[in-house]
Amino acid sequence: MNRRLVAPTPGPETHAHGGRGGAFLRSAGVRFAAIYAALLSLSAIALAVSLWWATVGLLDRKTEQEILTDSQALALRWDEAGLAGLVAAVDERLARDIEDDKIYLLADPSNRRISGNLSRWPAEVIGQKMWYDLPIARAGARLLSRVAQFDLPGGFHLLVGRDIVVHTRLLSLLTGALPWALGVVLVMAGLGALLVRDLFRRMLANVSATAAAIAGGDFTQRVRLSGKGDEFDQLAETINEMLDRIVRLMEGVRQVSNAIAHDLRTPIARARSRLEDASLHAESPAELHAAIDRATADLDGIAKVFQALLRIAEIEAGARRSAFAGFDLAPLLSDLAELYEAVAEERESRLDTDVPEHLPAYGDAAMIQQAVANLLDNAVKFSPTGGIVRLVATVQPNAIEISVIDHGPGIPSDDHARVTERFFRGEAARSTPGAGLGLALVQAVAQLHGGTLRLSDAAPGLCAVLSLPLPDAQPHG
Amino acid sequence: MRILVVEDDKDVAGFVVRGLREAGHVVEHASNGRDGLFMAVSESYDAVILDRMLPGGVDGLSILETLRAQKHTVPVLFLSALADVDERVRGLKAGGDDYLTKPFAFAELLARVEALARRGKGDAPVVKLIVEDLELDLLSRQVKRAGQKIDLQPREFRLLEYLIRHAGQVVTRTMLLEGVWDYHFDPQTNVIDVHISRLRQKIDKPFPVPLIHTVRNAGYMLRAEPV
Amino acid sequence: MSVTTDTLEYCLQLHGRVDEMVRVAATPPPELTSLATEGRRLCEQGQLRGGILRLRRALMLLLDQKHGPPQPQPPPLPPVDGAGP
Repeated sequence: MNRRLVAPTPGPETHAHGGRGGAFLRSAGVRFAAIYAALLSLSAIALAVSLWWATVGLLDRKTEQEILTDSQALALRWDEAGLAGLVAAVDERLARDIEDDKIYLLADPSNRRISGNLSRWPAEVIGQKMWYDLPIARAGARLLSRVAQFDLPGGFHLLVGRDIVVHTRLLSLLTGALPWALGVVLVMAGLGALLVRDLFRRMLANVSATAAAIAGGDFTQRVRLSGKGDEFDQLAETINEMLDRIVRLMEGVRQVSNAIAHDLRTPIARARSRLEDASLHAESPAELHAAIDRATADLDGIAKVFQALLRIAEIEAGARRSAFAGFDLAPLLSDLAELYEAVAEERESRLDTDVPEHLPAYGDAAMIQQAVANLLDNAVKFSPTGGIVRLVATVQPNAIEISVIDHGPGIPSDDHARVTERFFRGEAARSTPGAGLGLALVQAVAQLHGGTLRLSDAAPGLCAVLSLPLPDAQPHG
Repeated sequence: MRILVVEDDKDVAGFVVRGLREAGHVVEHASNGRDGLFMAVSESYDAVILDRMLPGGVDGLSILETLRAQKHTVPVLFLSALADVDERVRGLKAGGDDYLTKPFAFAELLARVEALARRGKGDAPVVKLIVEDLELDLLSRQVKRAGQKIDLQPREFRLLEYLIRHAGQVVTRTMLLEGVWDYHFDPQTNVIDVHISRLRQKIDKPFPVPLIHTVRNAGYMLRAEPV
Repeated sequence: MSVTTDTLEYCLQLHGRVDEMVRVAATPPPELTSLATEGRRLCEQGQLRGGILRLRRALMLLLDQKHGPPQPQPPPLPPVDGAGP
């Protein structure tokens, strides 16, 4: 049979530019382009093959079915009327062959012609149950005819066939069109490949230019968004978010190192001068001891500040997320309240608590404990004599809110944003002990849990709200 | 008591050893992990003070793990500059009994080591704790002094229980915060002092002899005689 | 391999058969005679395929008339009658 198709060679890009060396082939853009071209060629071939099967294949099968039906009818004639009947039937069929595409040949056991429209038995037809494509000449035209042999009782053979001229014409049409189609496919594949490569390069150029700028120290650069909201934009947004976080962390590091330089220098200097002074001028062992004790206390204070700084850094690094678990916040809050109630009482103020019986929360219980302790500590410390500090916990639609409200001097709203910075101390706090790290820690804990710390004016006083996402609202995993 | 100090820093080791000897203990010192492990395994101590990071290829954590693998139950206190919460948890999980971070006050170390060493000594379950005329019934959770019933809040009861269990020893504020409240952070305000003073109001004030004493630069102690 | 049903000989044989049937028929339709005559003329002019086609069509018309009531004009190339006579 003549079912042959010339497959277009996939991957013309790689071959065309192969001489330019490995660097070109290593380019992901070129690789993607080649894959694109190959895919396009493959799908074109698949389309051609299925088209071929749907048309030519269908016609072939229809022809073969006709031949089988015809031969069965003729075999029936043989059974009814013997050889003479079959000869008449063959002649009749040929006389009525308006389409002029039928072939019959009835032959005796030694393959000599009895009736039909072929001069002799074709040599290539040698048995039943096979299809043969026989080249024939009809009215001067060279054609193909599909034929089959049917054996009759007594050693007679019958050959029945149909011209498959449509098939032949279609084949020549398709093979004629194939080079054109191939050309079109190759051009499309090439253009598409270039397009893909360019798209790839543009996107990557955008990201890599930004990355290069960041690597070079320019942290203001961000990946440009196309505004289409596609996958590239999502990637760009993720990268930008990452950069924002890096910048925030770096800002934090810078801030902390500056703060350490400024804020720890004073107590260190104090301890140092005390020790030196004692060494030079102490006149009695008692005086010397007193100076050393004071210096030790100073150093303890510095160590505490370091401890707090490290704790905040630890929280901010997010390493403690492994300790996250579900727990009941209510007893934790009541215990803290009990701890600070006594302190408030001693200062002749009061701590009122309003906490539900159960508060299922998710996070690091120890961290939240410390954060709330810091808020209570601040509130009690700054609360005026006779003032009331309130600890209120409420369940919001998607968060638990822990509010600590005092009626102390408060914090000017201009300072609300800065008060969570490390070492920041408001005017009112200057005269009280502390290093200005308490709210920074609360803020870090809130962020670790995906929550927030909101400060507002309690007129007078400060209202601090630590908002922690509910267990359900927490992303799993 | 016999105490082993495994610490490579000469100054810190000298300071600790001197201090412990002054407090009346027999102290031995190893300056690297190998010696420390050898001594801990071959001798019998009442407590071991162990640095986490040690020279000699054997660090504090592996010393402790080896000891515990050999069913050694000697109380171990970690003394380490590794102050992260996670490091602390690792130390305690490995079988450590207490964890103290550097820098530390000697009083704190002494109080904790003595508490540890004494705890190791057969702590039979008791139902009643008695110091002088103060009685603490652990079952009915009742407190009596000189036969007089005293009403305490649950937390005050636990505070008093902790003090009585460590009667005659110094307990630091941090020990109280950890032992009674299970808090492992530094509340900047001196909340413990406030709670102790409340307890004193109920336990000591109505009676002629005070039992709860303040130990300067260290903490508190419960006993009949003045400090 | 050549087909034998595209020869002048076959054409004349077909024409003879049609002629015979026309003569026998009671009322041969006039277009039938002309179809047969045109077929033979085309064959003699060498246009064998066209001639044979016309003769085959004439034969079909005759057979249909003989076997039943006249049917509507068949399409130019009717589907093959697989069942046979």
